[in-house]
Amino acid sequence: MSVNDDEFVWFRDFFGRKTGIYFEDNKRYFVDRRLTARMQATGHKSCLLYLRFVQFQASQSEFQRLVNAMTVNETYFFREDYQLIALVDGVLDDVKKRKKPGESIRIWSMPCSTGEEPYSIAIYLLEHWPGMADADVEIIGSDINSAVLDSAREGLFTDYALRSTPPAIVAKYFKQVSDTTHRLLPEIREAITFTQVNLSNPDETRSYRGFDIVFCRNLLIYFDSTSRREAVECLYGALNPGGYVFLGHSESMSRISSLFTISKAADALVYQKPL
Amino acid sequence: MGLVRKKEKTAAKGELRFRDRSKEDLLDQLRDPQASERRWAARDLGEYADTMPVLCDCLATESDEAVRAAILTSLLKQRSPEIALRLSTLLRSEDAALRSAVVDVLTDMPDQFFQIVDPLLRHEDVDVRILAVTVVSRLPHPAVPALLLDVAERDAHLNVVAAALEGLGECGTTEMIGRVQAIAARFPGNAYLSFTVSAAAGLIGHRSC
Repeated sequence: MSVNDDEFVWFRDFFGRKTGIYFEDNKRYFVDRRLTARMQATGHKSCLLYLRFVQFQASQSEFQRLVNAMTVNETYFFREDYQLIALVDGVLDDVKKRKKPGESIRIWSMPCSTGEEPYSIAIYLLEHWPGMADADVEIIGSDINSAVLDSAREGLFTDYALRSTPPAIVAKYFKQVSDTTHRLLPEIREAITFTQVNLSNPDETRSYRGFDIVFCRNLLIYFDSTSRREAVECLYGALNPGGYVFLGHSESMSRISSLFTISKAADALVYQKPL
Repeated sequence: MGLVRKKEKTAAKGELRFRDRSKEDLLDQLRDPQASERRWAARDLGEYADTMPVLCDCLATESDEAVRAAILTSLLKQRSPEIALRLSTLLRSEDAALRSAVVDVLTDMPDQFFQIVDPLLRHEDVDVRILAVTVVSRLPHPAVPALLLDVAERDAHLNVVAAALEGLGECGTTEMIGRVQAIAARFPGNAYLSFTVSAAAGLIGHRSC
């Protein structure tokens, strides 16, 4: 059971068109392993027949399983925390001053994977942003991968996911459920909304509006140039005027879009939609 | 005050665009006085290949940068040699931001751009030739070094030659060094060109070390 060169290229183009995620040649091993596993799980001995099955299956449930297999990304709590510092040290105050009474500050974590990012944002704000005393903050985590969203809602995390989390925070916000597993307290779990969305599908993204801050970290690096532009267009449309985008440390809007102004908050570079 | 959760169905705020989204409606909305309406129309028209000429026409007159970006993204989605050709006419625009945006998009459609590049590299307008060289220099394509060397050896204008040399500095091959150095003789006594030749040859040589 194997994937030949033609099948790999066909899959790469197909998957890229549907999700925006483009696998370079150096990801061949990663792709082959996951394709082979799905072929085994569905009883297909030929990759070509499996790909036809994925393409034409009416329910598209296997396509979703394939998406889930291809998009599991490792993350952890308080990753790249200099951006969280920037959030509470300037960005949120700037957003808050434009809010009318009764308006929530809306933060979108996309992609949120298994929830570490939106939960980190929630905990960090509760711990470090004085503005929480008189502001409502709504946090929404979204991902294309339905399995990671289920996991996010469950709120179970291993020591490994909490490796950068101070012990005092673990003690305050998590309940230990086994030697290496901790469950986030329901007050935090239930405060975050999780939704499934494909950033490359305008039909799915058009209802995402009115956000003040978007965390879109380590996603654009997986996209080809067209999908990157589409994704950034989506972020632009999702943001209120004056809203901010945080990208991953190795990512940049350069050569994708000139619609945002770049500025520095604490030690982080942030992109702002003009007012 | 604190963390709040809205009802699931309102997490993604409801559809704020109440207008019809048929192709004909979207084409109408491209002329809407509100830039946000034009932007959404341009984005949604990206699904309709036959509307690309209209989007190209709009690009020439559209002044809002966000609408332009949406138009360019839709054109990129539907990329074709015809679209590349129509975009290339905007390389003559007086609007520097538009020229720059067009260069970026043409760079992202290398196969289509290569089909229309020859006339651009021989265009009567020096600025068009320079921008065409800029796009070529950025393309990840094996034909690029030879194309740039041809421009550097042939073009009569100093700035076009210098742009080609700059590109060669990034992608030229060691066997080209002699021909690159010989280009200085095309503009005898010109210190700028001489410096550019040295820099390009130096960069090519440095990469081969």
